[in-house]
Amino acid sequence: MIDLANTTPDLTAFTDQVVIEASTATTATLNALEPHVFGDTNIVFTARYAPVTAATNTWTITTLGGATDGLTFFDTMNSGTVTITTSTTHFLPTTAATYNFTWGPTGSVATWTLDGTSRPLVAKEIGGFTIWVPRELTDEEKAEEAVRQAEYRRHMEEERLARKLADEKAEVLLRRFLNPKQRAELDEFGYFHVWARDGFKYRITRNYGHNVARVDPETDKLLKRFCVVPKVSIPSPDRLLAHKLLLESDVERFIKIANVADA
Amino acid sequence: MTMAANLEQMAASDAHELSIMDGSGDSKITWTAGDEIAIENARRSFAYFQEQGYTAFRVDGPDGGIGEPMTEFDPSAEQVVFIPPMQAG
Repeated sequence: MIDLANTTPDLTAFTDQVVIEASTATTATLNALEPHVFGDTNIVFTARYAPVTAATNTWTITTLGGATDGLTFFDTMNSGTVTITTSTTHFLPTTAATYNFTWGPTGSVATWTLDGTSRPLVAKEIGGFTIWVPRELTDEEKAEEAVRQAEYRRHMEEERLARKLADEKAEVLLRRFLNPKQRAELDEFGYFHVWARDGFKYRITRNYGHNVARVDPETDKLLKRFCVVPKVSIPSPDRLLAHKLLLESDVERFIKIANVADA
Repeated sequence: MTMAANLEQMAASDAHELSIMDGSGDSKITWTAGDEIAIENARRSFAYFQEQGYTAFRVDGPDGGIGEPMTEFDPSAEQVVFIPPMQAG
């Protein structure tokens, strides 16, 4: 078994497109810089793919000879797992994405296709693994890639600005519905408190996971933590406001929805 | 314009506002008393987002009034906020 925990293949040159073929029945998580071992059935790796410019871009993964044993596709952007058939096409998000793939020893990747253009893979031996990477581009392809990358960088900058504006707008909405004490708490500590109709005091923080806590009203000791997230993407301040509105008006519903953890 | 100025302007113009949380922060639909076309537009939007699983809260008054769940559109509401469907994280 290959001990990926003690293997640090230099994949930095391939952080945009990396395909790794398991040479033995090994389970490992391998991302571009930090591999780990965690079992012995399947190999898991993470591929980072960035240069996409439109939501209609697709990525097709095709197995060699139709081998599909144990081959699955986990899309971390959409929290979904898809079992690969002989060929599976996935729509890419327009933001930078990280994809995790899992496949068994009989599964391997034959082609990497983007926008209908197949990129033949070439094998590189790195750290005991066969790393399949897209072959060297021709000058013409490099020029096309440079244009694509420039467009991608422009797109990413536009997205960054849009997210910044959305955050600012959501912050205004949040603060409009906070009282002066809550606004002061948020400014000083990064959280504010609300009183729910169950008689408890709740702390809402800017953290992402389990960011709502039931606190002892006298000591402010944390008693329970709750995680409730929107089903659609909204800026973080909107999420805080949604928590506030739910807690103050319908705390039973909030708790029923929530993933609850001890403090 | 400051937030306080915004609120003063709303009060002065008797503007009512429906805010729907979305990826851009929020989208707003406004109306004033007597503007039947704008009110009907707000009413239809209210019904649409309810159907999509959004929850409406009515928040009247300045400085962080506690929101009340709102199941039917009421044009007298000063401010209405729609939050998206929620799930365990």
